[in-house]
Amino acid sequence: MLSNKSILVLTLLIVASALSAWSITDSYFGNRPGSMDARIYAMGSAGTFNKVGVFGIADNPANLTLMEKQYGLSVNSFINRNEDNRARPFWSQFDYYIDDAVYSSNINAYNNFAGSGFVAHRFGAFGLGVGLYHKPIMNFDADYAEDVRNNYNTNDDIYARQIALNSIVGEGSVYKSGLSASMAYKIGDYTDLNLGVDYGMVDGDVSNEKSIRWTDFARNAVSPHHLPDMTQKYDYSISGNQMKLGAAMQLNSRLGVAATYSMKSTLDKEGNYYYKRDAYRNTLVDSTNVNFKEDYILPSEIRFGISYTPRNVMRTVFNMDIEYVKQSEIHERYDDVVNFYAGVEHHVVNRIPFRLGFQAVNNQFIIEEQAYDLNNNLITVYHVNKVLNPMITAGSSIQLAKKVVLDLGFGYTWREYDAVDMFGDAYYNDKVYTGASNNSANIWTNPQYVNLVTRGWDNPDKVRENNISINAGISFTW
Amino acid sequence: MKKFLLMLLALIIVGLLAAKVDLNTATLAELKQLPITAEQAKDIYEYREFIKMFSNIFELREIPSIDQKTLLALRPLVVVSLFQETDDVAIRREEIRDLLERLDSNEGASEGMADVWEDYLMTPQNVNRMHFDDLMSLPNVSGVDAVAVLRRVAQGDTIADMRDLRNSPGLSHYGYTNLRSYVYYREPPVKNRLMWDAQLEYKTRYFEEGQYDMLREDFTRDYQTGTVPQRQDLSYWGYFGLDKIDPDIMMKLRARYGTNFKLGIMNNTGKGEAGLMSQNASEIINDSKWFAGYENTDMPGLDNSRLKVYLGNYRATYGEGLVMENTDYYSARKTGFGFSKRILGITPDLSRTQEFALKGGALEYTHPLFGFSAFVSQDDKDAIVYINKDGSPVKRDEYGNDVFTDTDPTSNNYNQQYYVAGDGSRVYNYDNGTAVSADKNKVFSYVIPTIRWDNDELMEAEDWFNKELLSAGPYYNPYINLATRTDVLREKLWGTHLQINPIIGTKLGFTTYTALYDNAHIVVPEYDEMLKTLLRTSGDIDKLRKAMNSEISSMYSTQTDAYSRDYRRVIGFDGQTVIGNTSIQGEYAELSVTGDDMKLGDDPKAYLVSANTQYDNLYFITLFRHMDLDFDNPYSNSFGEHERFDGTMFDGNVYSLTNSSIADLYFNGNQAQPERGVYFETRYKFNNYFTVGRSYIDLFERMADHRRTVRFQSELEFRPLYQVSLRLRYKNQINRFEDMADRGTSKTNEYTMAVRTFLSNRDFLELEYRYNTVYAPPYLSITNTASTGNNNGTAAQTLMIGDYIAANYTHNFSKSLKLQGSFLYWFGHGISHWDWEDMEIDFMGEKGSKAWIAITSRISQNLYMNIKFKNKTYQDKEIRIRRYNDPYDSSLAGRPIYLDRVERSENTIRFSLDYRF
Repeated sequence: MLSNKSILVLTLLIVASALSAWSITDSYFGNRPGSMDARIYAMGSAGTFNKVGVFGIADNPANLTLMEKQYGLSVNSFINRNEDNRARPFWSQFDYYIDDAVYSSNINAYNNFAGSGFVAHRFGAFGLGVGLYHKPIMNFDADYAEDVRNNYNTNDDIYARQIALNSIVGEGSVYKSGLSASMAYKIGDYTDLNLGVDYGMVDGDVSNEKSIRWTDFARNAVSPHHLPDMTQKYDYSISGNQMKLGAAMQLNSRLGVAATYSMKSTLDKEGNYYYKRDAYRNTLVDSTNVNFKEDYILPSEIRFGISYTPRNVMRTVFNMDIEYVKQSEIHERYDDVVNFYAGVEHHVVNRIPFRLGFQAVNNQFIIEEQAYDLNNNLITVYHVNKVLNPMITAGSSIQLAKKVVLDLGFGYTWREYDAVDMFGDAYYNDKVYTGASNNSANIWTNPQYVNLVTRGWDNPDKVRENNISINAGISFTW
Repeated sequence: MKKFLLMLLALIIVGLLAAKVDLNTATLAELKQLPITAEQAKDIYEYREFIKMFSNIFELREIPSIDQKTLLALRPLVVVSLFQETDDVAIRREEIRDLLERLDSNEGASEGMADVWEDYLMTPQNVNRMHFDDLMSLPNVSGVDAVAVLRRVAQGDTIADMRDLRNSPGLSHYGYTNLRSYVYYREPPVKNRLMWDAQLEYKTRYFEEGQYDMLREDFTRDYQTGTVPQRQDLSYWGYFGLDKIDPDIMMKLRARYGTNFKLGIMNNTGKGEAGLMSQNASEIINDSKWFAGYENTDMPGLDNSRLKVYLGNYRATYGEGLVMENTDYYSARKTGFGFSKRILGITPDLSRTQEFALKGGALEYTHPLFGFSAFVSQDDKDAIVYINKDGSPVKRDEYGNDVFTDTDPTSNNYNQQYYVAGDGSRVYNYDNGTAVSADKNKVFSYVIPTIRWDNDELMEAEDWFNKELLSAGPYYNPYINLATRTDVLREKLWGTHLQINPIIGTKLGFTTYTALYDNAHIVVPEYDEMLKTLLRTSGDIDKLRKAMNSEISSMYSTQTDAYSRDYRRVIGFDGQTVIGNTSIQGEYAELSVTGDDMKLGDDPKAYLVSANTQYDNLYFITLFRHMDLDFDNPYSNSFGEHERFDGTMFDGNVYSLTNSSIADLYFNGNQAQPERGVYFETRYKFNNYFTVGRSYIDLFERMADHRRTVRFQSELEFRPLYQVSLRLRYKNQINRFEDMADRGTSKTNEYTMAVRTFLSNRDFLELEYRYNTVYAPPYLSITNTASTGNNNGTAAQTLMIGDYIAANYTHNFSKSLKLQGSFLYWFGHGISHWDWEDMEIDFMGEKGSKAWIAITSRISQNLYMNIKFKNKTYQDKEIRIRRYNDPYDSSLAGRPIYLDRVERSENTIRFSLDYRF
């Protein structure tokens, strides 16, 4: 049985860990790749109606019987380079704020693989199709490092002393292995109706470790065993299943419409939480090691798409999707969000396509803080941050053999938001650990100028992230 | 017999042809009957459907699955019929395609006007029945050109076609080329039918530098007595969490039946504002603009008379824009000629203009000899209002008395205001429940807010800021006393325009409008009182006692010591005449204040006279304007070098204001500043090799502080080969301040050289270099160490140098796919550079680099998609000019206010979809 204090600490740390996944900030979804169809990825992931790409079956099961070919196989790799820059704007100092100068910059690259295949047959006016796919739906890889330094030596124009090293390392992805089936009814040459269903098993192991390590310089500056290192580890698996229904209709030779409905899925999130802060002075080691099991919700989504093929000297396809995600199912404080996807494909010369796209996807992060109300009761304060990710995409494809195509899709996205400092400044106040008086900190050169308090939302970090992603897929269709 | 054989032969040929499959009309099933595979048949069908119609059978070889052998096999079995577009709208759209695309790319400069011109392009007007103002409203058509056309028609001649138009005596080459696509001659090119346009624009952007500083300005307690807190929530920026990407989203839908019936609706959600998802239906409708209109160019009764009736949002523009031209957007040096045209009369309005939008009804009846229009509008306007400590507007009684007139310095509620009720008791301003015998809001001015926050949210924010301000030392104004409120100023406006056109090319007009403020008194204090009202600390009052701030104290009040009323009225006359190849026009306007409404010269006035003389390859524009300092007409949009409040404390001293957001009056100002001066402009094309591009000289005096300025710009283009153009541009500006002790004289020089190579297929590559120098008396804060007591000037005349280099490239992959891109690097050092991007202007300070790429894809004949991405990475100001010379700021003693040189990296994106006709 855990003590009340442990529960509080655990709550705070779980809340803190909500800030530590890929792109560090979004612990819930991590990194969500867009469409795994590299062609559609280059068209802004607008592929609810897709009759070309093998991985279209994962975006909408009804695409199975919409496909122009009868058989298809595809393997894809998805690489994402994330750049995370954190600035600490000082406000109300009149002229003394650092503004956008970055205090921590991390660049990392992560990858995932995916595969899919389908068979679709027509029997007169009717058609049937079956498909299989395995693809990442969330990636929690993270590698974040941040130095804590004092201002010693700064006047001599050399690096300041390092006090501590903060790091967050995350690993793991959640995959979906899906089986989809679809049936079609052909009304005319360019008129048909397709209905599909998709059942997917979701599974993935995730680990996340957050640590603070004091440097030898800091340790030597104070009495032995006075500076406690901290480790927080979080190992868990996410498992369950998800259903998706889809419809796609070719209205005429120019226009196709499609829709999907992904049902709300309650997955199991099960694992172990470990926390340890070393002993210091008269304070014993503080450690926690607990198993936990909780629900993990994938919210329901409704997505509509159109595909328009005009007459154009460069053969052209224009796709546009609008998606409504009921994120309020995750947390009552969340708003439901609307996401937008659009893309175009032009065959410029010699049937080499040039694809271009745009998407605007909303994320929401919730931060919980403990506070006291007017009656001095402990309450939970929620802070929801809604963050927009605009993305531009482009791509092309190369015909490797008669039936083999290499598709390449590139994406660039960025986002800007406020985030609470992930490592509160109060932890580095050595006076707490040494019991020293107010003006006698040993590891800070000018302690009178250093106000080591955890700043919270009074002065959050300004985060600027960008991602460059490549989706490469080889598909074989016949 | 011979006849019979010929007929038989013909029948056989027809029969043979009839048996053949027509590649341009065959169904897929018919194509499948040919001796080819089903896949090949489908490829043929899709080539025709998705790429183009066949013009000959050999084009089959462009289909990868059709080889030469298949072609030869198909050759005797297929024919290709002549395909010709029959849809008149499609034909017309292709004819005017280039012009439509050009108008779209200029949309940023002529907000909302492009819609009107696009409609004119699609459904042109009959050139033989057009009135003078109709011709004058078209882009780049001058008065001289209009007279040339009208004279021909008046003489009984009929302009039969485009060639005939070109031969009109007196019509210039440029007049003809600009006019020809906007008119028709005998038959309209498009029949009356339903047409519609839709537009979606999604754009992320950053605030301009001034607005950024304004929103970030914090409401911090007095640092003499309190600890300066490190809290971002004490500014609008931090409180509303603006450190995130938040797009502007604009949706527009227009429909019309021929030229008679028109409908439209537009919704724009700006950065930081509540979007459609969080608004209810009535809020969405209230924030949207819409119109419904009826136009008839062939009214019964008088011959060739026209009627326009509009409900909803409309624009009204007359004369030179001195009395009425309603828009939120200021544009410098708007001469009314060339590319800065006005569309005269009543037009529907779906521009993003929000504050000076007219919403109601408008009627216009015109005849070649006279015209009449009347318009009414009722709309709630955003305004800067005087507020109490609790954020509620200060209420006034009908006589102009503030309800809360006294301050109680002795009570526990320090500085709390009250008024004495009828029974002698004090009613404090926190007592909101107490009956208040006044219902007029005390308003400072109309305002176009950078962000239209909800009033409740604003009040909560200001209440939060006030807690900080009130907790500390003795500010002169210890709480926020002026703030923006949306839809707080109820404006009922009516106006009329009467015009007679006695002879061709000559007109006289009378325009007036009255804006009635039912629920408000507009109160702007006299100069000294104004400083005390707007500035937070008493120390700043002497510092900012500068002549140019008189522009603020000269704003219009409805309540002064001299008069009391609840309206604003502007009256004016305009006229135009064409003599030979010269068109002369002008307007005189008065704002009714203390004088007689109908008497000239006894009220604040503005007037403008201009003359435009044109030859084939040469024109001159001469323009004289004068605007009194206290001619404050928010509906004017006339010629001016600068917008109103340029150089005032709204411009450079945002941090001194009781509420930084008041500076929106400058940052989003739509009026020209009061000035008096002469402007002269010319362009001359010597021959195919040499052209003197648009060149002008402007000599003017700013009325607020009598600063005199000479601004000169000239451009020479040398084109030794058709494919190569070399442009040299020189700009010089000299400002001489009346008060030599303050700023003295500044001189700016700018030299630009650009080389453009015109490649094939309308592609081009351009390299541009610009070099600037500015000689100016020192801003002490820049040249001195900005610390306490160290504000002695040591430099007599400083020199700032900046330069700029850019490469621009445009590539057309085909007529349907265009790529534009630019890279530039600049060094400013206090000098501001500007750059015209694909359809917007950008200003850059300090130093940095910028790259942008814009791709325009014409997806189908009707649908355009445009994506633009820009990265701008630059160094922010090295020094923020703030309280550098404040002797009380001990925290700054000995510590210069140099900011760390910080880098900003901004990514912006614009995505738009346009569906046309």
